Amino acid sequence: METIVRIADVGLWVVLAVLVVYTVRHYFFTLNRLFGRHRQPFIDVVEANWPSLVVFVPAHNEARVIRDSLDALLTCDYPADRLVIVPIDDRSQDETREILREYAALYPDRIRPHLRDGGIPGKAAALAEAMADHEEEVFLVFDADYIPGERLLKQLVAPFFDAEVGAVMGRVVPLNVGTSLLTRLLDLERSGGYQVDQQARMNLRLVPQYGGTVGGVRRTALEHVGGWNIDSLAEDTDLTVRLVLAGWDVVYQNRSECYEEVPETWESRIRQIKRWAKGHNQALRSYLFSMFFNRRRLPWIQVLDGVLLLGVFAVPMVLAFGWMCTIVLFYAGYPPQWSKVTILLVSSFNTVGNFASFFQIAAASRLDGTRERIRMLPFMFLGFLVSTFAVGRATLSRASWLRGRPLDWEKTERHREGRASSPGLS
Amino acid sequence: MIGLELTWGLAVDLFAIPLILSVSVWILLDPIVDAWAMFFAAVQHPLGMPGTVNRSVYELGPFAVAIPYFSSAAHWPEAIDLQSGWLVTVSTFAISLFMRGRLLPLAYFLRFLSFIQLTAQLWFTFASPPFSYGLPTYMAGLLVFGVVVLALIPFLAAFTFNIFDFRLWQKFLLGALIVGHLVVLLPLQAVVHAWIIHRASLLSMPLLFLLFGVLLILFVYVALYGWGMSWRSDGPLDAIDRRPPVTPPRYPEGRARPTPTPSSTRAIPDPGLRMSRAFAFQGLLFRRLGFGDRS
Repeated sequence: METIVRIADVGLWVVLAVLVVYTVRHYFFTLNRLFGRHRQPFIDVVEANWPSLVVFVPAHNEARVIRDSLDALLTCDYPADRLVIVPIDDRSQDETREILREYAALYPDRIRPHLRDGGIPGKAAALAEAMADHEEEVFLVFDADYIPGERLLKQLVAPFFDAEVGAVMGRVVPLNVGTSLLTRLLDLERSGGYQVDQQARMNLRLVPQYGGTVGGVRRTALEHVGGWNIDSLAEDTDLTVRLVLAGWDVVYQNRSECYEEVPETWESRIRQIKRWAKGHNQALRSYLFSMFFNRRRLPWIQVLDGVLLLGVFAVPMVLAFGWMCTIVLFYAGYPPQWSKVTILLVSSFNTVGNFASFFQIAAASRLDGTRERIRMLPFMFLGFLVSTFAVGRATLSRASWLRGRPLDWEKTERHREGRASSPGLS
Repeated sequence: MIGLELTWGLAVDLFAIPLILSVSVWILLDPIVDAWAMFFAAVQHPLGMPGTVNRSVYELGPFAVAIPYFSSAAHWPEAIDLQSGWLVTVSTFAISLFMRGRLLPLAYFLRFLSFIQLTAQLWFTFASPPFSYGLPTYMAGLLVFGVVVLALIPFLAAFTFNIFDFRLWQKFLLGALIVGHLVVLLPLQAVVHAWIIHRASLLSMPLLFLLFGVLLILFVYVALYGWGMSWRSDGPLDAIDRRPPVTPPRYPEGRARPTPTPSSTRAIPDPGLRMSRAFAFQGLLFRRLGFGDRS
């Protein structure tokens, strides 16, 4: 019994140390975002010799949302003669393919669909296949439910004028905030994650994450690091780490906002976060060693941030272990450890969710000018609880840790009402 | 991008304000715990708690505080307690399995609750008395922790709230509100815990300790903090919404869309005009008197 108690005691201290590191990290990021100088390379460049650009829009059963996305892309202010939009239909069973054909007929010079009927399923494989048909140096990737603003393409392409930039990521803003409690909580999470977390990592030259949904990649950089990893469930995180390890810069543009549809039901959210967790854990398994022993001698602070970024979906399991240790110690007759339990609980609140602590979310919402939404803060506990369970289940699954292509792919459900036809843009 | 500037005033906000609040707590601590003791004495008999209200002196750094608590003991769970516990635990877990959709987070909370209670059920089924903790020590421990929280929470508020561009009085107010709220909450929480443990045996102590002790205090802090962070301020962050507007609720599928009619699109008169006020009053008067068509 004494051995178990000793293990639990040491285990709890280790868990608390990990959780405190994450909490301090969040706090430091918040202070940096509030008081630091912000890096936004080339954000206001309007006139330039813009490179030829391909925008890929991978789609699988996206008939409800694809029209909005294509319409928005067509209205962007990027020079029309240098822009090609390539929606990739990956074996859709709904009307996605018909919609793409309709748009291709309407805009033959600007929209060139890539239709897939075979090959390895998944976004990374689809992108790899479609890329082979195009020669452009810079390309952007949008999810099919994303609606870019008019200036977004230029804002995302401009950082590539710096030859060391390998990837660019824009900000994701939920479009369907007012639909349910969940969408409101996700709005707060996204706000904290992008407005504070990503921008602080950008400011501090750490590891801003290329998110794969509203961002761009330089072809040379992608080929340098070996192309898309089609075995990964989180090809974006995978690519981010490989680019950083290879010495490429990843840029985050906070003002480049793109509007997305967040899950409206808890079931959909659970599927989404499980997929993210599996992908992140795959990347953690693949690159943890490389991060510590990188040949390019990355700054230690960048290595630390990279490791913490990769480990973010392992935290719920660490947290669960901390709870187990606390329970063991309680029954074993240790004096009630109020201080340790406090740290455990405060850290629990701070480290899970979309990994934005409550003060980080509050700071982000004030920076966004949406101060009244901060009153939802206590309800974040619900999101935290569901995320912990979902991530825990995903972490214990085979796909998180074994090698090879994952067997399951859970697509995020769309809730938007589909439109019947295009508005006939000229 | 919008942000804040580092000024010397921030040092005042971060250290002076919480120090003033914290020192105030220490100065008022004796009257506060006296009030708690009086409250315990007042509710003891109505709640059916036997024994007396005792006080023990605890040393917290350079300070000493006489914490009040009920002297009544909690009994080791008997067969009926354990059977009831199993019934409640299994029922709670079973109910959670039927919760879907919007109730899913609640279902997860109930499952977590069931898990914690399951550990208590197993422990008290196989272990033998005595339990490591008694009701008096548990209650005193909760209140000692509460006193420490009262002294430290102004600093937490300072480092999470005072760093923003609020006015000085707002920073004082939020810190004082949180402390004031906890001064009232802590004895209520201790009494509820003591009453449940006394009535439902030691079987309920693990759940109360792990889920309704610190977590409740944390909730109170986050809720008040969230409310405070939604206040207007005079600083650069006190702006109108810089984000795109939220999309309006979607019109229900299957329901016919309303078409504009002359009555629905008629111009609304300016309520400031004397004539329109007169018409409005006349219309109201007519409806009150039963004239006119309400449809």
